[in-house]
Amino acid sequence: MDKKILKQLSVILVLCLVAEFVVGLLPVTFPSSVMAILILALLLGTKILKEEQIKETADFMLSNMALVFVPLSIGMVEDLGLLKGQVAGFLIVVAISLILTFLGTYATVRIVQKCMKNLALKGGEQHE
Amino acid sequence: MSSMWSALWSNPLFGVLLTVLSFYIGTQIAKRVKSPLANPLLIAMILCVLVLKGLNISYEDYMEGAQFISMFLVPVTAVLGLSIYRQRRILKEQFFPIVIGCLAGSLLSMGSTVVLCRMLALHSDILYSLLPKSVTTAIALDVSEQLGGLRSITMMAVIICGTGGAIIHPLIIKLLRLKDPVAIGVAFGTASHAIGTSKALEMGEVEGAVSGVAMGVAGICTVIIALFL
Repeated sequence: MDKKILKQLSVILVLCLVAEFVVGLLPVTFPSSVMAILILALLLGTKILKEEQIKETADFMLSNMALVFVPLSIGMVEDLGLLKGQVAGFLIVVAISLILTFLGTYATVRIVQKCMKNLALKGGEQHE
Repeated sequence: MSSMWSALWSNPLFGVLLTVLSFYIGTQIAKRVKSPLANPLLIAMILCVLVLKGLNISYEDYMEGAQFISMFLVPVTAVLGLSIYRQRRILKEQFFPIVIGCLAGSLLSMGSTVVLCRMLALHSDILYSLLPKSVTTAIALDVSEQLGGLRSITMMAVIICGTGGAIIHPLIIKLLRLKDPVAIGVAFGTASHAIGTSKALEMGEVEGAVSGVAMGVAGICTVIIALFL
């Protein structure tokens, strides 16, 4: 059991380093975390990597994900001074844009779902 | 005597302990108090700040240890690939709603930020720092830097979008009686990145997984849109 966690953690860390390497090869700036998500999904999808090879460690990370943001959130509290005189504007922009994004995304997904349902009805079973 | 204590506080292990323990307390409180305000991250942040101020520990001393936790940002984000894989069926079925939703959401997030910043005549530094606010920290910092924004303002906006979203979105869902788990997941991931995803995971497995997928897709969309700015 203990060796299992070591193995799983190693797999995940290797994955991150591979992603870091691949991102370095790209001509544009691309975030390594997103690359790592894509590579992991690809490896699992092609059965090169099995879910069991990362399961327990990955599940622990997934269920406690917000932990890694604690130090960052404290850095944010420390730097509040940078916003001097613009705090109200900053908060208004973030709040309104946040709510608009959430609602706009929800609405877009629903519209696309409905369009696709109509298309599927019209075009038989071409669409999954 | 006091120097003995301060040596203890500046031990890197103290920063790790403080972070892990306050997050643990945060999750325990969040489990008992069923309020959107009782968010583990928010509670942990307040507890940590109180302890740091109370014991007069500098941020630098704290980060000495806490940086080991921050270091796991990429691995912790990477394992979202597993939750995407687990939801491959729904992703296949809902491919277009998810991808188009993420693209529209990212455009809306960035577009509304430009319009609002102009309306309020905010400094252009702030505008650039705010543009990537809805995506996960690792991506947002890269985009912000590329556009000429300020890292710590971007980080603030990212954290507010995440924690704020984890608080506000469930209220919106209740108020407007939004039901579709896929659309909720996409909206969470697109508007509130990984912190939103951790809230979406609490709401349901489909919501969480779709949110994880959407967070990645929205991140990619934002990186691509930023290339044109």
